[in-house]
This record gives sequence, structure tokens and C-alpha cells, in this order.
Amino acid sequence: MNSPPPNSKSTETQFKFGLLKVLRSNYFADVDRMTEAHNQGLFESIIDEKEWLNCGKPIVDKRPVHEAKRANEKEVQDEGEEQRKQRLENLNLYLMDGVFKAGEEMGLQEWNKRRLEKSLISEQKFYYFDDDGNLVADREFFEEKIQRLFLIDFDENLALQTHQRPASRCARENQNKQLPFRLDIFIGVLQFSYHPQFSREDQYVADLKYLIKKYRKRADLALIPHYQKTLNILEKETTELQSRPDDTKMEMEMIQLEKERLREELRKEIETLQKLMEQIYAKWDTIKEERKTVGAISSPYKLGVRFYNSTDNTKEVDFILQQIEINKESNKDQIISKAEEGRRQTIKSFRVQLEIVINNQVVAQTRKVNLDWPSFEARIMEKLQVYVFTKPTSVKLRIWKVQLINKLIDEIEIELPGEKSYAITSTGFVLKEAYFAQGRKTIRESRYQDLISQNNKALNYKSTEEEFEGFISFRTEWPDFGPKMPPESLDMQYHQLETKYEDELGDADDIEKMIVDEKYFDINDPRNEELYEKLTKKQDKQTEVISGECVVPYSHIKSKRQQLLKMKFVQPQLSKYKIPLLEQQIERDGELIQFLGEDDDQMDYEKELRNQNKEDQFQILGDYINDEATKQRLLTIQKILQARKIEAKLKRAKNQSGLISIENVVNEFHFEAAASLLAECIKSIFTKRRKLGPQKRTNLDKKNPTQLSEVQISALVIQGNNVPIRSSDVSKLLEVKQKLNQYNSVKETIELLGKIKKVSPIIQVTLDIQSDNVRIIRNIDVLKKKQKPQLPGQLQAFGQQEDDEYEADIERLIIGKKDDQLTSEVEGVNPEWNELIDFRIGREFKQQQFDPEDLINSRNKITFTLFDQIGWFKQKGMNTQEHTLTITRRYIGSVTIPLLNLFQQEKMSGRFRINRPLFLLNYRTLNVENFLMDQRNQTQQQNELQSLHNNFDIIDPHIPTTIELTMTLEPSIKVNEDLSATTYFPGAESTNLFLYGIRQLNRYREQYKDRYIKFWAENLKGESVFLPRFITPLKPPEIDFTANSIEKAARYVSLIPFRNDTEVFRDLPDIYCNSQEFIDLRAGDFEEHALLLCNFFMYIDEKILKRDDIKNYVVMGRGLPEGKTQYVMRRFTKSNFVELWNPQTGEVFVFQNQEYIKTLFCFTVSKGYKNLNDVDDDACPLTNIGCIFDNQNIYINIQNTETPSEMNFNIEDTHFWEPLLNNDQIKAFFPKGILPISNELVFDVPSVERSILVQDELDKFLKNKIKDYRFEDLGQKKAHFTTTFNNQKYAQLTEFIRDRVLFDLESFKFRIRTTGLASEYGAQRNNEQQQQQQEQQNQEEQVPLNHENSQQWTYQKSLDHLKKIQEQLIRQQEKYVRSSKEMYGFPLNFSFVDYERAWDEIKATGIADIMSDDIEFLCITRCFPYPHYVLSTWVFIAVLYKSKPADM
Amino acid sequence: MSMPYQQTGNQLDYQEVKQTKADLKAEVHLIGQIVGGLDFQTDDGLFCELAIDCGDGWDLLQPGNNKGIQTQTSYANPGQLFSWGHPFDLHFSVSNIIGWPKALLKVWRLDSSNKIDACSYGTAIFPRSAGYHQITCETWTPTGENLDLEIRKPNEDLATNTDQFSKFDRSLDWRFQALSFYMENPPRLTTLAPLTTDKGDFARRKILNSISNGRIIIEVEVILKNFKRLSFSGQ
Repeated sequence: MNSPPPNSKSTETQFKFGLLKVLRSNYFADVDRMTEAHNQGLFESIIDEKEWLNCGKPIVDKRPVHEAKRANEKEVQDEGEEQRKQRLENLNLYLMDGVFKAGEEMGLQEWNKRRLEKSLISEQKFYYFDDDGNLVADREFFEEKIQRLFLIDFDENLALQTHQRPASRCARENQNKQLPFRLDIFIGVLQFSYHPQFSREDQYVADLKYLIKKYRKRADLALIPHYQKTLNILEKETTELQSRPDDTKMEMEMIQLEKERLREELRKEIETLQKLMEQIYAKWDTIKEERKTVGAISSPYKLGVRFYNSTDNTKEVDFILQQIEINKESNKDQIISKAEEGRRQTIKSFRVQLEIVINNQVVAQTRKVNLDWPSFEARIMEKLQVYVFTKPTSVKLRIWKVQLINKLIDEIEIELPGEKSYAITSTGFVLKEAYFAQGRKTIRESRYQDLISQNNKALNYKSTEEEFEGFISFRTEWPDFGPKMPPESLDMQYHQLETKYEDELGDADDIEKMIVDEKYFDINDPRNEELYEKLTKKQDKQTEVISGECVVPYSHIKSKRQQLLKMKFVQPQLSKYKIPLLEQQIERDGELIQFLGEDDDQMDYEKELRNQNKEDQFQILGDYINDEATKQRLLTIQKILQARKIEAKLKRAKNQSGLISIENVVNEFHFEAAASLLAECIKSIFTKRRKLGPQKRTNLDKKNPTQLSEVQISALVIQGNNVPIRSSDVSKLLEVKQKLNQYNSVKETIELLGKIKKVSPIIQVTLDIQSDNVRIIRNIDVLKKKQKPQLPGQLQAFGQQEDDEYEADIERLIIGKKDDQLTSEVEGVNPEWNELIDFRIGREFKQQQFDPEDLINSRNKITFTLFDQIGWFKQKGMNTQEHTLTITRRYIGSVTIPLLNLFQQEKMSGRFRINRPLFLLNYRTLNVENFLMDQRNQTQQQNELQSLHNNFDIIDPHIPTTIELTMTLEPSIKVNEDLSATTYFPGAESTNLFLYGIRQLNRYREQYKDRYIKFWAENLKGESVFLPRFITPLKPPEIDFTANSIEKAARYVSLIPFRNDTEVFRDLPDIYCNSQEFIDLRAGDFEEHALLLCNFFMYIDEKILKRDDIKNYVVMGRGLPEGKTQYVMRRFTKSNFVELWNPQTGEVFVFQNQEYIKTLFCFTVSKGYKNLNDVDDDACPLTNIGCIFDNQNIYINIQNTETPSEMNFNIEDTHFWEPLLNNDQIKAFFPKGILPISNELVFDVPSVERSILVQDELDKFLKNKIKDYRFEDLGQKKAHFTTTFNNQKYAQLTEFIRDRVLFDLESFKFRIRTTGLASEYGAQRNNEQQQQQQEQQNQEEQVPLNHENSQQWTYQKSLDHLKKIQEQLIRQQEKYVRSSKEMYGFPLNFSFVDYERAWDEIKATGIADIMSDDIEFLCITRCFPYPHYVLSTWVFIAVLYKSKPADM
Repeated sequence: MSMPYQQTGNQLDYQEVKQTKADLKAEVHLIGQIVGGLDFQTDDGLFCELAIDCGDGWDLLQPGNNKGIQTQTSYANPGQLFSWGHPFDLHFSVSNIIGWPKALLKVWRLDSSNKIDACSYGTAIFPRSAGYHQITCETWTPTGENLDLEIRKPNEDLATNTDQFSKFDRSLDWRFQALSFYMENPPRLTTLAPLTTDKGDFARRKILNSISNGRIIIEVEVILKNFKRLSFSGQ
């Protein structure tokens, strides 16, 4: 080192730049500095004669730092975004030089545009997938793997075409290649920092640039401000310490030492910077000298100086290269020698071209660019888009010197974002300059070091002709986003695999190395045994991994065809059959399926079971059940069921036919030789035989479902009754009524009546099929039959268009799994539609037969939804003649009928009760229907009018809305019904009972074919149990049962979710769970509900009400929507009243009959019975009663009629009801008496926490569902509606509804019976004391209760209660909602099963279908917990809309 | 210009809808014949035995054929071709590409005294691309130079105590060779395991010494099912 080392002697004045003038980097970072300079356009001002230190004239930024900063920011803000982007982009690429230079702005985008236009003209397409949709693998793939947009030409690589690779590797390499990623590569400016044509000055300038850059970097890293700050702080401390009275010598010394150290550091830092500055300055001097000696300027640069105002009012100095225009100056006074001119020419003709090499394959070439003379730059400015499946292992740039034969200058690696780390954040762009030098980099670096150390000793490096060095600025970017960015590289994958082995078997690797080193490994040497074992283990592991990875897709699936093919060589019978190619065909072929082994099937079945159980209740229950005992109970049930299901499955496989018939599942009938052989013989002789005539054939029409291709379901919608009317029309009705009193002419009355449109009901029939294979097919004929909507104006035109569309199509239209059809709109409270609606169900393709299994699914159903159709005209713009008609439907109620019932009964007809919400806002029922035409006296009419006023806006729960329907199936399908009542499974009862029972059953069956008679049922374990055993008084859960206990019990039972046995216990016959099992499973059939309710009633009547005159029975019969059902009957023995309770809905229907008695002398002679039934109880869904049982006996209905309204319920009378067993038989069959099978019930405490949890979840779920539905599926019309839930806006209203309205409704439902009010009329009339007591209780509860005493009283009270709730709601609405808005809505109630079902309930109401954007939704949910995890869920859903003219 | 993967996504779906996944299992048919043997230097009759070795993922759909195929005994024509012309028809279902089926070949010689000797062994890998193929399989005959337990005297009972053959007993080996030369009893493999890639035995093959013998010519027609659809190729 010759240079004088920086020692303490050298003071600050030695340097030309004072201490404070050194750049201290507290101004901006380097980039900021440049941008600022660019923004302000400071370099416009050109150097003056007066120079500072012989440099360019200093440019002084006079503003203090903060202001300058602020000003910059403002300017930047004012820019548009695009401008800013452009600026930054350009700036970035320009700045790559490291030295800012003002020049013309050449945008990248213009270039791209031009090139795009060119390439679009000669567009070429590449295909990367073959016709089957597979990636083109192997040979072609690697050529086309990297896709280029039109920007790039493509070189074919012939060498790779012959390259073949093994299949397994190909599969492996291509498995991740599904989605190409885009990689953008921008290439900016190529700048030479050494070129053979460099003059000496050029070389100096290049050095200068390099020095400036280095200096900048160093300056940015300088710690000067930091040291200064700390020094300041230390000084402050010293002053503080001095002021202190204590002895602070030690501390002072410490600080003093620290200060000195810092100062030394600071000085060093400054010295280095100053040195660098002097270097630069020295370089600049040499340049100037060079220029003088040559007499010309060959590089367009000047050294400029900038002063910055620092925070401490000192100045900082910075060097800048400034540009000068050479040509102008040279014209003035310079004469260019010929050699120089030639040199310039050669430089300008120097052409450069870049190649991009990805994975060692040439992918693209840039255009050829000439060098720019004074700057030695080649502006390439190109953007390349590369599509890649995996991250390329290497991206390289090859720089070519373009000659006759191109010459490679250098090949450089380009850095990609995300190369160094794998994270989403690493996908930003990389902006860098790559250095190319052909190994000159080290020389350059060493020269720089020398420059620093050896002061001013310029190294004249003499180069050979063909040496170059320089920079290329580039930018790489993954423009996409997402978690997969940046893409993984193939290398990484293998790398990961390798590391796995290393982790697990680190030892083996070492051994391998050892072996390799020794080069000999004797297996037989016992000392090597361990090593050998380890090595083999490693090999096994590897083969395992590899074999796992090489598995072909779908190979885990067991193909039945291949199983059969295998078995063909074992089983000779199979050789007769042709094994079809497709799996579906085999599955349909019952004979082939028999051959398949049972073991495999069983395995599959277990899997199925597991999957199914997930959907089952168990799983849902398992989440929140805390009680250990209930868990245990559930587990045992589960175990039993699984065992039984496997049994059933086995039996099914054994059986001949492939159908699921329940008979196949069940144990075969084994005749147990109870009676002696001789007796049997005698019996067989004397039993009646069939007559010799030909046997009567029945059910000719019934077809085997396997031969069917289609099934047609037709529903005839006949008539509706008691449809609620719009309450807004009632006032009009009253007006008309008053007018009618004045004018009596017929014409006027008719005209007046025409003005009223009370309601216009319409029925939507929805067929919902769950199977994947079966579709609903709609025929054109059916479409034509469908009446066009008779509406004026534009809608009709729309309808015509629709028809045209259908006709244009081919024969059939596949509609899907779900289909809606509408009846036409009919006005009136009792509308008559008389319309036939057809559905065709079949397979997707018409010739194929379809499986019966697909249809026999209890989830398939038909829904009849009753809507009120409202429409209004709206003037369209200014034109008074044009109107648009908007139509909405409002939900009134619905009935759902499972398809299974229809299949079992073939034909269903009757009055179906419609399930309405408890109230519908703005709707009401009419008490008196025909009052207009009635000829009654005035007082009566006035009374009716009064009642109309009074019952304003109430839907009377007592008045049922019904529709009359008939549904038929064509052709009727033979469905194996319930297992015949005669079969039994021994175990629980004595066989004698069964034998007797079978005899009796056969006898009754001959006489009463349609009646539902049954004596025993299967329990969970698969044993037949005598029905009366199921009934015992059981204590209901601990709810407040002091008042209305009956209603409460009924409500509780009705809340337990209903699930068909075929759903829960698939493949098993109808199972009668006992009450505990039923509660645990939390789901059950008709019979479970009925049995539980009956048990509760018995307990209540015995223990709580203490009434001996009431007896409880379970009724077996047929109901209208449900088919075979069970009801519960409460019978008042003294008064012949009978209450029939529907256990699913909690509704009551009352029947009573009176005996006509004539007294003849002293004797009373009955002349028959008269039924005194309430009119509204005619709508009782139970239409057919077969038998009745209590805990002692079964009573069979032997009356002529089956309908409950015509029947006599005097069960003691054997003329009407025949008991199955007499006392002797009971003693014989049941020596210990008929013992009940269920004991006391165990209930779990209701958990409020869970109910709240469910409530919140459900609320969210429903809202999201409604939003999605309205946005996506609405009416398949591709209309997107945004939905707003303004629960927050109407917070008070929602709170009120949630806390008060829904609570009141729940308590209403829980305590008050809404139907069957006639019960106990007279029976309890005398018991006034009790009445008073109950009234007192009711007053405390603030809920009007107790309707048991008189019909009128209860009726009115319950109505009042409903009315109160509704009025309160309306009042709140007026209070919190703007008057211009109206509300339409209703509360829905159901027991919680899962979220999807709750959504189904709401979807069915069609409230989400309203096609308008300017409505607001209110959706309020509340859950009420009941014992043993039963949840009563209320959803109040409403729509707020701007009030429109209601009349149409 | 839409992205290539978007165009083709629907096609795939459509195919899958049409067929169930079980239909998409890859299958291989190998139909062909053992044509004959060439260049076997004997005047006696030869017959060939073919056993099939395949990986775990390969399911032969006729388990009855698994034991091996044996041709008739054939005497050479003037061109030294032992023509067997023995057909075979194999049907595999493939769940894993590892263990592509190999033919393990064993040539037997029937001499004038009606004695049977295993003459030579060979393995041939069935081709992986569909179409017609002719395979020539070079065979080799073990010579008992190295004393491994695998090689035994002909007609020796397998259950004999292996301890007799000690490693260092070279005299026995010489005797054995002399016997085999004069009695025309070449040594034979006790199992076919060294021919396959079975773990332990395959490794021991390196101890075997052998002389090359004639060639066996096999013709196979390979039919691949569903390979393309499952997006890997046998090429």
C-alpha cells in the first residue's frame, strides 16, 4: 500500500470537500434522490462557465428538506395512475445504469403495440393438448412446453424429436402440468462498460460511472447521521450529569470514552467517503485533461455537483453525471479526424441481439439493435411473455454480436422472482441489471480496489479486441396471483423426495458411502449383516415410495367387470354369460351380480355404512352430546343396527332377484313344530282348499319396474277451500256491502262485485327427485296443454315466445331433477282449478330402462305450494299507453307428499290440509264465506260485519285451508310393501300367540282389505313384539306441566324430527323403536311419535290430571298425505268424545257421537248414533281406521265404515270393535301379564348455549343462502339480484321480533291447541272451580290460555292472542319503518334437523324469488331448546317494499 | 386467444360422465406365440417353458394360466429352428406401472434316453407399446463354476442338507463338472427366482456363471386399453 494511510494527523482540511459537505444519506435513498431529480427537471439547466471545483455548476436545492419532500409527494399525487406507472416503469429501466441521465422517454408499450400488430397479421396457433384433452407428452411436449405469445418466433429443435423417454417418468413429470403460469421478462437497455472501440476517454467515463455508483452505494450505507445523533445524545447526557449534585465521575468518564470512540468512527466514515469523492474528482480531472489533449469530446457527460440543504442548515454534496449534446458542440469548434469518424461508424454499425434460453433451450430472440454512439447503449426494450408449467430451472440471456456469423459475447443467468425463497411475497418483480464480462468482472473489481488504495494511479488496462463488458437491465415478473405462485420447479420436487429419505434413513446413506469407498462389500460376511439389513430396508422403502407414486388413476376402484373376468376361470357357470364392457350394464344385470363374491361386497358395504353414518343423526348428535349415558345408549343402538344391516345385506346378496324387496331381507319363515305331526295332517285334510275354477288374476296392470322406461305421474288439482284473502280487500268488501244495501239492481251488484278481487290463488306443483340416474322428462304435448297465462300486454307476448322455443327443440326436453309446473290463476276464496299436471320420469336416454331403486327413495316428493299471485301495471316512461306488468307470488301454504306413498297406493285423492304459517302479514281468513248472497236478517249481517272488523288481519288457525287433489301413477309400479303382517320373528313372544294372530289376521284381511291391521312389530334387535307392550305411562320431560299439559306434551312430540324408517334404517323392515331409543335417535317414523305421545298422555291423565274417565289409544290407519300412519286417540268414556291427535303436527281433531235414546216404559232403547262433529274437523287427515290398541289389547274395527267422522268410538261395544284377545287368552299367552318394554325415560337437560350457537349459525347460513340464490339461480333467468338484509337498520324491529313476537308465538304454539276446540265441551263445564284456578294461573303467565271449557270462549281467546301479537308487530313496524314501505312476511316453524333442510323450507315459500332489486329482506331466526336436544326453530322472514297500488 | 386448458376441460368431463370410473381401469392384452428356438447346439428335442412375472399392481385376469405355459417337444429342422408355435393370450388389469410383465423362459432338452434336463434360461420383457412385436430372447446356461447354494447337481433332492456344499470344497465342483460333461447333465437352477427381480435372489445372480446358448423368438401383439385416457403412455 503506497498511499498514505488515514491517520490522526491528516485533518479535515486535507480534503477538498469539507466534513459537512459529504453526502450523509439522511436526505433520501439513492432511488428517491433520482426520482426527485427527474421530477423537478433540475437537469435542464446546463452548465455555466463558473464552475465549482471545476465541475459543472452546482445545482442548489434551496428548499429545506421537508418542504421539498412534501412538494414532491404532491406532484406525484396529482399524476394519474397510468402516468405514474409509466413513469416508474421507464424510470426503473433507465436508472439501471446506476447513473441518472436525462433522455428521451421511449415507452416499452409502443414497441409492444407495433410488434403485436405485426404478429396478429401472421398469427400462428400452437396446440398443447391432443384431441382427448391430454397434454401432449413425450416428444412433442418438450418442444411446445414453453409457449410464447405472438411476440416471439420459434426455433424448432430437431435434436429433441428423437429423444424418447420412459412412460413412467413422463407421467410423473407431467402430473402437475395442468395450469400454465405466465412469466413476463422485460429487457431494457444494454450498456457497454467496455468495448473494443472505446477511446481512452470512453474508458475513463466508464470508470467514472462505476466509481459514482460505488460511491452512491457507500454513501447510502454511511452511518454519519447515526453517529452524529448518538453524539448529540451523549452530550446532552453529559450536561445533565454535570448539573447533578451526585458524584458522577465514573459515568462521565465512561461517556467521554464512548464519545471519543464515536468520533473516531465518524471520522473514519467521513474519510472513506471523502476519499471516494476525491477519486471521482481525480477521474474527472483525467477526463478533462484527455479532452484537452485530444481536442474533442467523445462522451456526452459532464460531472455535475448538487448541494442539498440538510436539516442542520449545512450542505451536502452529491455528484451527478450530466449530459451534454456532443454534436452541437463539435460542430462549433471541433474538427473530427477521419479515424475518429471511422470509429464512430463502426460503433454505430455494431449490432447486438439477445437470445433467451430457458432450460437450456432457445426460446426467443430479440430484434437486432444497433449501438448508439456516444452512449454505447443498445436499447432493446422488449417484453416477452413465457408460459411455463413449472418454474424453469434456469433462464439465461445470450448476447450475440451480429455479424455474418454471429459471435457469442456472453451468457448470463437471469434471476426470477421467488427463486430464492418459496413464498407468496416473493412473487413481486425482480428489477436488476445483469453484468456480463466474460470473466472480466474480477479484473474490474480488482481495479476498483486498486483505485481506492493507490491514489490516482490510473490503470491502463489493455484489452484484446474481442472483449466486452457491460450491463443489461431486465425485469422479471410473475403477473398472476394466488397461493400457487411462484410455481414449483421440478427440481424442487425431486429434491424434497430425496430429503425425505435422508431424514428417515440417515445411517444407510453413510453406509452407502462407506461401501463405495471400500468398493467391496461381502454379503456373506456375518459382520456385515447389520449393514446389509439396513441397505435392504432402504431399498424397500424406496420401492414403496416409487410404487405408490406410480399408481394409475382410478386403480383403487374395484372393477366388477374384472372381478367377473377373473371368476370366469374358476366358476364354469359364468362362462355362459357375456360380460358387458361397461360397469353400469353389469350393475343392472342381477344375475351377474349374484356371482360376485360376498366378502368383497361386505367390505364395500361397511364403507358405505361408514359414509352413511356420517350423514346420519348420530354424527350430528355426537358433536354436542355431553352426557356419557346417552352416548353409550347411542353407541349400542349403532352397533345393533350395523350388525343387522350387514345381515340384511348378506341376505339380499343371497337372494335371487336384485330388487330391494323387504321380504328378501327378512328371515325366512321357519315353521316350528309346536303342534304334533298328526294334528297337522288332520288339519291339512280339513282346511279349505281353492276351488277348481281358474284363479282370479289381480293387479294385471302392475308392471315389473325393471321393464319400464318411463313413469307418468299426473296430478289433478280440483279445488281449494278457505284460502286466506288479502286484508286490503276487506275494506272494499265492506264498502260494497254497504252499497248493496242501497241499490238492489242485479247489474250494479255484479259490477260492484267485479271490483273486488279478494285473492287470486295459484298452485305450483314441484316434483323433486334425488336420484342421479332418473330425470324428469317433459313432453311437448304437455307443454301445449299447459294454458298460457291469461294476462294482458307484454307478458302474453313473452309466453308465445316461450312456446316457439319449445317447438323448435327436438322431441323431448330433459328438464332435470326438479320440475315446477303451475296451474292457472283462479280468483276467489274457494278457487276451482280443475287442471291436470303431468310429470314424466325416466332415464336420461329414452330407450334405457330404469331402476326402481332410484325412485323408491323417501326423499323424492311432490310439493303443492299455494301462492297468491299479485300483479300491477306500471306506466312505462312518459308514454301513457305502454305499461309493464310485474307479477309476484306470495306464499300461503304448502303440502308435500312423498312419492313413496303414491307408489304404495297407486292413487291418492281427497282433501289435503295445507300447512300455513301462523300468520301471514296482510292476509286473513274469511269467517263467513257466502254472506253476500245470503238472505239473512240484518242483525245477523251486522254481526258478521262486526266480526269482520274484529278479526281484522288474522288467519284463523281453526279454519283449515285445503285443496282437493287426485294423483295417479301410470303404469302403477309393483312395490314390495311393508313385510306382510303375518310374518313374525320369534324371540320375544310365545309362538302360540303368533300362530293365533296369523289366523285372526287372515280372517280380517278377507273381510276388510283396505284396513291397516297389525298385531306385532319388530324392535331394533329384530324380534317381533306384541304391540300393547309398547305402551306404558311414561313421564314426560320436566317442563312446567301444571297447565295445558296435554298440549305441551303434544307440542314436544311434534318437535322431534320426522324421518322415514327407509331413510334411517336402510334395507331393514319397518322398525318400532321403543320410546327411549326414539328419543335418543332424535328421529322417527309415525309409529314412534304416536307411541311416545300415547305414553305421555297416559302418564298425564293418570298422574297429573287424575282423570279416570279418559283412556288413551294408538290408532292405526291411513292418512292422506302420509299413507299408513298412527294417531293417538284420547277417549272420554263418559261423554263419547274422542280426540284424535296427529303426533307429527300436534293437531287435534274432535269427534263425538250421541246416542239417540227412546224410553219405552222403563226401558231405554237406543236407536242409533248421531255424529255431532265440528265442520272444520272434516279436514282430519286420518281417513281410514283399521285398529286401535292400548296397553292391554288390540281392538279391530269391524264397523262398516272406516272414516272417523262416521264411526262409533264406543270401544267396549263388541258390535263395533272386536278385541283380539279375551281374558283367558291373555292369561295363556302372557302368564306374567303384558309387561311393557320401556322403562322410565331419561332426558338430557336442554342446553341454552347450543341453541344460541345454532341460532347464530343458522342466521348466517340462511342469509348467505338467500343472497347466493338470488344472485345465481333465480328462476333460471340469469337475473342477478343483490340482496340486502337490513337487520341493522331495523335493529329495534328485529329485536322486537326476536324477543317478543317469536317468543310469543312459541309460547302460543306450546300451550294452545289451534284445532279441535270442541273437545270436552260439557264434560268439564261443571268443574268451575278448576276453571277459576286455571284462569288465575293464566293471568300470571300473561298468556291467554284455557280454552277447554267452552268452545266460544277458547276460540276467541286464542284468536285474541294471535291478534295481539300481530297488532304489536304492526305497531312496531309503523314505528321503525318508513311509512312508504310495506312489509310482507310470515313466521315459519320447524324442528331443527340440519341447516340445509331449514333452507329448503324457506326456499319452498318462494319469498326469495321476488324479482326486484329495491326490496329489503328481514330474516330473523330464533331457536328454543327443549329437553334431549330438540330444538324448535322459528324463522321470521319478511320483505320490505315500497308501497304500490295493490289493486290490479 | 383462450387458454389451452380451458378448451379441453369440458371434453374430459364429458367422457367421465359417460363412463363410470371403474370402466377407466387400464388393461393390457398380450396375445402372441412362442415361435421357436434358434441356434441351440443339440440334436435332441427341445421344449420351452414360459412363466410370467409381473408386479403387484398387475392383475392377471385368468389366474389359471399363471403357473406357466409349456410347449411341445420339437426337433430341429436343417436350419436349426426348433419350431414350437405355442400360442398364449394374457389379459392384465393394471393399477401400478411397476413390474411390467416379463417372460421367464426355460428351455428343456429331451435326450435319447428320455431324460429331461433344463438346458438354458432367459428373460424377455414384453413390449410397452401397442402393436405387433417380435422379441428375440437370448438364453444362457449356468455352469457351476461358482459355488453358490443355488446351483446343485442335477437330480439332487432339493431337501438335501445344504451344509454339505461348503464354500471351499473345490474338488466337489470339479467332479461335478466332469460329471456334467460326460453325462451331459448341465447344472440347473432350483428356482426361477434369479431370473426375476425378486429382492433377495436376484441379488445373488451376480455369483452365477453361465455360457450363452440359443435364442428364443416370441411374437406378441400388445393391446393397451385406457392408457391414453389415464394420461400415461406405454411408449
